[in-house]
Amino acid sequence: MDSREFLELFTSESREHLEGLGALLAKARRQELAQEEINDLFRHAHSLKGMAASMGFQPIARLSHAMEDLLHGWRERGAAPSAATLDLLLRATDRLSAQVETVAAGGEAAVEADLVGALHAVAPANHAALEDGAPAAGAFGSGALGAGAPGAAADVPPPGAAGADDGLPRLEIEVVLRPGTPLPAARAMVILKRLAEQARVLGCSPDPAAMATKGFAGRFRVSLATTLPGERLASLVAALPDVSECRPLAAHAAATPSVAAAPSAAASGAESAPRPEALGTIRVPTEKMDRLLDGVGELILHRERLKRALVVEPGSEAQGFLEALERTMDLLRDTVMAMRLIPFASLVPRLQRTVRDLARRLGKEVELEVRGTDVALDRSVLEEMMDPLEHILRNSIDHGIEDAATRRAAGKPAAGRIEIELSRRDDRVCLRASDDGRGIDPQALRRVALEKRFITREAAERLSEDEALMLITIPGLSTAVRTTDISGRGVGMDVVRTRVQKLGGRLSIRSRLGAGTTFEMDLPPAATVTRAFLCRAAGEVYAVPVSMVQTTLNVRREAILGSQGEQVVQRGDEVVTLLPLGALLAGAAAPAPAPATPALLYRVGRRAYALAVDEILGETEIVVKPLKHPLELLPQYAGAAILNDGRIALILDPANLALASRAA
Amino acid sequence: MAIRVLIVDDAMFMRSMIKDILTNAGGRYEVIGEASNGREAIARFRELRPDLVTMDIVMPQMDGIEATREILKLDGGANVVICSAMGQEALVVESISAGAKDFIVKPFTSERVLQVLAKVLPGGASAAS
Repeated sequence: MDSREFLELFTSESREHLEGLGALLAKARRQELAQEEINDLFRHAHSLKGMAASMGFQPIARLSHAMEDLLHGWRERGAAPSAATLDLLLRATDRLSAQVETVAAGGEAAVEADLVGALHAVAPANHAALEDGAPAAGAFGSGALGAGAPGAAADVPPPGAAGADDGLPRLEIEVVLRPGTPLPAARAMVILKRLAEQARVLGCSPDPAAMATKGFAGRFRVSLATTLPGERLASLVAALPDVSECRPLAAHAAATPSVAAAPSAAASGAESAPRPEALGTIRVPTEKMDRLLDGVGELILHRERLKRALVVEPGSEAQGFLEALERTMDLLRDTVMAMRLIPFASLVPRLQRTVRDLARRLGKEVELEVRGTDVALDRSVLEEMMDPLEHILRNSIDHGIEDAATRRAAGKPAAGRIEIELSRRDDRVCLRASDDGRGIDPQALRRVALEKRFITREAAERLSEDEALMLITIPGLSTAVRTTDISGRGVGMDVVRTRVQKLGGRLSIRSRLGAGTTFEMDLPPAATVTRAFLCRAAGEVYAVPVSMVQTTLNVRREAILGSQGEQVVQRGDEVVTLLPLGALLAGAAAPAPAPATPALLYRVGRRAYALAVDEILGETEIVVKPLKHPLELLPQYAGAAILNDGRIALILDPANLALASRAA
Repeated sequence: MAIRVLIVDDAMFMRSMIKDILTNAGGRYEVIGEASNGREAIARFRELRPDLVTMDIVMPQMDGIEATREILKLDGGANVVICSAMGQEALVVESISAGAKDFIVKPFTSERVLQVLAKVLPGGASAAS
């Protein structure tokens, strides 16, 4: 059909509706109309509006819309309008007829602003009748999505009693509709129904029933019980019509966090389990969040002290109380941690600005791609990692990525490329920044490190390629590299490494000469409280984060072999390098080995190390404090921990210990 | 195989417009029937068993909400998409509660109609029950 045919169809059908309107309105002046007739009046105006809008005849659509609103009120309330109102409606019908004839003749309909205004003045404000029955926003209880609620979707299952302990992971997603989305409340309902096909919908804020009548800004949160990952659900929703953004928020733990242990505590545990359906949002200043987390950290510390100070009989009442305390505090900590999660996406504009500004200043073309923007991290980790990340970006743009001419000569695209990816791996977060620049030459690094006497010749030869690349993070060396202008990385990589360590993380570097460099930061999702092994060596207590240790061992004296100046032990098919902690840190001569030495086994890359200590004191929660200057410059330490007895223990960075041992 | 569509709207103008959009969608859709009110829609649905129904809300005799409810009673897996004019959001919300899968607001563009319908039946006709 062409547009002329549509116009003809529009004209003829509009005339029918206008005739219907005129006849019924004339009748209404003589007698009361039947409900069916009032429905017809409304329908005529409504259909006319829809057709006019589809043809793009805005003046006709506006006038018929104003009529429709007035007639809608009549239909809903049943009270007959006054004679004056009927006259107004008749006048509007006449004007509509004139407008339709004008457009039928190829002319342009005039805007009837006065008449529209007069109709609006009479029409009841925004269908108040509908508002009366709707529940207030925020009154979302269990079951509001069920059959009883006016806005309920028929096939959204009600969050039944069974929902409280189904063990499914809880998660919350936030959906933002495109600005100007037509009928946003209806759109939100459709999205909820789609989600209900994939997951159990526990709640929605604001309440879907209230969206249609209250001012709905097009932003809502849905809490779900599902085994699907949040990112998957979010990308599913993001592909739906009118969705501008969808991201997972804090991933809640399953509703039953380790309450199975003591039956006496099970009841209270169930009560204190998170109730994701009780939504509603409050804004809290970040300092208060920090204070809350600090408080929780201190509480955990006190608890650990208490546990040591008390002599608790197994099976006693006191032990039951202590266990209950422990569970409640763990839950409290998890909740506070979850509250502090922020999506990586919030930092993307800042990264883009950094890259854009630097590239412009250095006259280079650089494309930035950021992935994993929906991964949520603790606010402090996210903020703290920005500094090292920006440092890496500066280095990549300044020294890694070549100018356009050099790149072209090397057969690369003129524009350099940087990829940043944030991903979660089990209990760790991995932040990777790769460039396709000129790469770093490990040979050159070895040479400079030797020349500057940072390492011995034997150590330099023992270093693997990856280990040699880490030499760039030795303070002073990177500057040296810069001055000798070796395939270029600039200053300050030592700062990057120490910042990452302060977060309880680990920096690793991979590079291919001519092809680019990848920096990888392996971080804990939240830095402040962590579990650690406490061990003693050379009279001091040290902490080693549990997340870095694979297992503990006992190394028998006769199993220790010498190999190229190193001590190694055979473990299965694997050769494990033995690192005597006391000797490494205190410089103490290796003591006569005891018949058996306890050790912590860990890996750096493919290499396995056993950190030999005098005694492993146990595993405990520690509150991590950043190291004060100048201790932060020591690569072997990741931070400090306050122990239960108030003493301070240094937290070791096993990866850098390994490196230091090889470089020494 | 094309997705078989029943178009329900009291205005022939609107039916023609939707039909025009669907028949120009590269053979993905085939309009197999039309109805101009809710009652007719139910009868045509029973007879044709279409893969997809586009449903106006405000119609004489029986409105689209009522018709949607009835159609879903006939076939719980029926794909009904509401085609309604702007305003009266509560009516659209009600029809979604009644079981409609999605909605399109008049005035609409061809792209918009095809975008929404593609999300309702992503896999083509075979995906419909």
